[in-house]
Amino acid sequence: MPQANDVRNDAVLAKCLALITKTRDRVRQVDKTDFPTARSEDARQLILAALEALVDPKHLAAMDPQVLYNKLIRMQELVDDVESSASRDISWPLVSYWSDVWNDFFGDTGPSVFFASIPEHNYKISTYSARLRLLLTGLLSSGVITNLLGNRKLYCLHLASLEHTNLPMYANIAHEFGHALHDTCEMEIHARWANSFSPVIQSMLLDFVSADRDAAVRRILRTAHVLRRFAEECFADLIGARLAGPAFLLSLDEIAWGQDRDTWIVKLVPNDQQIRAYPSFNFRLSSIKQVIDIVEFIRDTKREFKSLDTDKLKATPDYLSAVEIDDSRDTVSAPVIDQDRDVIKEILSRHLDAVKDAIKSFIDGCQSFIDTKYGAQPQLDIRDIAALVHRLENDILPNIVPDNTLLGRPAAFPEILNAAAIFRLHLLMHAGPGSEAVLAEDVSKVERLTEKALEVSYVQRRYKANFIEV
Amino acid sequence: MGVLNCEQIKERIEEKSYKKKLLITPILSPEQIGPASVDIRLGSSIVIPKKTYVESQDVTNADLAYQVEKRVYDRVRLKYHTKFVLHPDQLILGVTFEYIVLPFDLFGMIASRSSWGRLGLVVATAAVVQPGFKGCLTLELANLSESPIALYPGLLVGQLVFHEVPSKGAFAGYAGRYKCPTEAGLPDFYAQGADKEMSFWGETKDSGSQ
Repeated sequence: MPQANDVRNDAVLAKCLALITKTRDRVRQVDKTDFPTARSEDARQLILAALEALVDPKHLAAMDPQVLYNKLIRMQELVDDVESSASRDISWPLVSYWSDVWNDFFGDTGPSVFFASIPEHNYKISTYSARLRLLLTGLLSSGVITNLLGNRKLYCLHLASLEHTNLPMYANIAHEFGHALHDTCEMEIHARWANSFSPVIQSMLLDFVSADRDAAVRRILRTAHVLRRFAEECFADLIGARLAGPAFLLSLDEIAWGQDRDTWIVKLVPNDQQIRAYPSFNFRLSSIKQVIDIVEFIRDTKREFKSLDTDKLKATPDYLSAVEIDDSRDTVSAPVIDQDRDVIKEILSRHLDAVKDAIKSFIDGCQSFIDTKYGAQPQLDIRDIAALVHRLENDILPNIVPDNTLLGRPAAFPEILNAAAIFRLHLLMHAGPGSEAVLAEDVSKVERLTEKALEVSYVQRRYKANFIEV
Repeated sequence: MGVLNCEQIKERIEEKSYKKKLLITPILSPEQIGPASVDIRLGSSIVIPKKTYVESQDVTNADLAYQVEKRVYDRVRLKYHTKFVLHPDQLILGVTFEYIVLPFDLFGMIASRSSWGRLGLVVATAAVVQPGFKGCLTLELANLSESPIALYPGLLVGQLVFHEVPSKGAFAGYAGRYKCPTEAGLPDFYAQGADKEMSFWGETKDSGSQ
C-alpha cells in the first residue's frame, strides 16, 4: 500500500509538471518584438532556461514537490514582469535613452536592466536575476543555478503604468538607477555612510542604553538599518538629480502631491534586511535642490527665457524655487507594529536634526566619490532648453536645436526631458478654472510631442553615427 | 502660384520665425530635398484595420463608431529595424516619421515615391495637407500588387510637394480638426459638430417609409 504522503506528493508533483508546462507556454508566447529594449529578452530566456532545468528528470528527482509548487506559484511574478515589458505600455524611445544612460554607468560587463510596467503609482527596481536565484535555491544545486544565471545581474525597473504617457515624470527612473548603483558600489558607499553616521549612532546608543540596557544592542543595530535605508534613498536622489536635473525635482514633487510631505517613515520587520525607511519628501526635495544648484539654474533659465513669446512662460522657472522644501516640522512615523517601534521612533525623533546633518555629510562624500569615478556632474545646456521650450510653445517637436544649418542639431536627452517638464509645469500652473478640457488636451499634446521628439532624436543620433557625411 | 522648387523649399525651411517657417523635422539627410519635393519617411505608429464581426462601419452613427473602434482597429508601435509585411489588398494607416508645420501661405500634396508606386504601394489617398497644419501626417498605405511588401520604419516612402497659396484676405488656414497628431490617426468624422451633419444623412426611425 502506498503511503498517503507519497500519494499526495505524486499528485503535487503532477500539478507542478502541469504548471511548469503552462508557465513555459506562457513565457514562450510573449511577443519579443514588442519588448521596449533587447534586455527584456534576456529576462525571458532566463526564466525559460530555469523552467527547462526544473523539468529535467535528473533535477526533479531530488526536489520536494511541495517546495517546488510553492516556488512555481511565486515564479509567476517574474513571468508577469516579462509579460508587462511591452512597448504598447512603455515608450521604447524613452527607455532606450535611459538604457544608454545605464550603460554609461555600468559598462558592457556590468549589470543590465529591463523595463516593465506596474499598476501601482510608483517606480521601483529589483534584481530580477537575484529573485530568480532565490526561487531556484533549494530546488537546483548552486552549480546548476550559476550555470543558468551566470554572474551578471539583471535588474527589472518597474514603471507606473497610470502615467505611461507622462514622460517628464519618468525622470524618476534616474532615482531607481541610483539604487542599482548603490548596490554595485556598496563597499565604497558604506565606508562613507559609516564615516558620516558614526557620531549620531553613538549618541543614539547612549539613549537606547538609558531606555533599556538589555535591548540596546538589538535596537541600535535595527536603527542602523533604518539609517542605511534613509541614506540609500538620498543617495538614489543624488543620482536622480545628477542624471535628470530639475526634471527629477519636478517629478518627485509630483509624486509627493497628495502625500504626507513631512513624515519620515520607518517600517520595522522581523528580518532586519527587509526594514524599509524613507526620509520625508520635503527633506529629499531640499537635498535635491542643493545638488542641482537650483538658484543658479533658475537665474540662467530666466535669462534665456526672456526671448520666449509667452509672458507667463518666462516666469515658470520661479516655480522651481517654490517647490516646498520646509523640513522644520518633520516627524517620524512607524506604522508597522513591532516590539521596538515606540522606542526607536522616539529616539529617532529626538535625533532627527543630527540624522539630517549626517545625511547631508554622507551625500557630500558620495558626490565627491561619484564625481571621481564617473566624472564631474554633467551640466544642462540652458540655452538648448530655452530653444526647445520655444518650440513647444509653438506646437513643435522639441527634438532639434536650431543652429543655422538646414538640418539643425539633435537635442540631447536631458535637455528634451527638462524642456518638456518645465513646459508641462507652465501649463499646469496657468490653467484657469473651467479650462480643464483645454488643459487636458494641452498636457496630452506636450506629452505626445515629447514622446515623438525622443523617438526621432534617438533615431537621428543613430542615423548620424552610421552616415557621418549626410 | 506654382510648385516650390528646391531652393524655395530650403529658403522656407531656413526661415527663422516659427510663424512663417516651413517645418519638416527631422530631415535626416539633405538628399531628401529633391528638385521640387521633400521625401518623407515611414514612422513607427501603425493602425491595422481587422476583419471583425461588426456589421458595418456606419459613420452616420457616432456612438456606434466609437464603441466598435477597438474591435475594428489594432494599434502597433513598431521599433526601428522591425519588419512589417503589407499583404496584397491590405490597407493600413501609417504615420510620417517627420513632424510637419505648414505656414498659412503653403499648401502640401503628398504622393508615393515612384519606385514604391511601381511595386504596388500606395502611400496616401487623402493627399492634401492644408495650410497651417501641424503634426505628423497619417498615411493610408495600400498594397495593390500581387506580392507581400516588407516595410520598415524609417524607409523613404513618400514625397511632399508644396504650392503657394495667396494669403491675403480673411483666410484663416487650417482650423485644426487634428491637434498636432504624432501617431497614425483613426478616421474622425465627428469633430467640430460634424456628427449632426453625419447623423442627418443616416438611417432614421422612418427610414424606408418615404
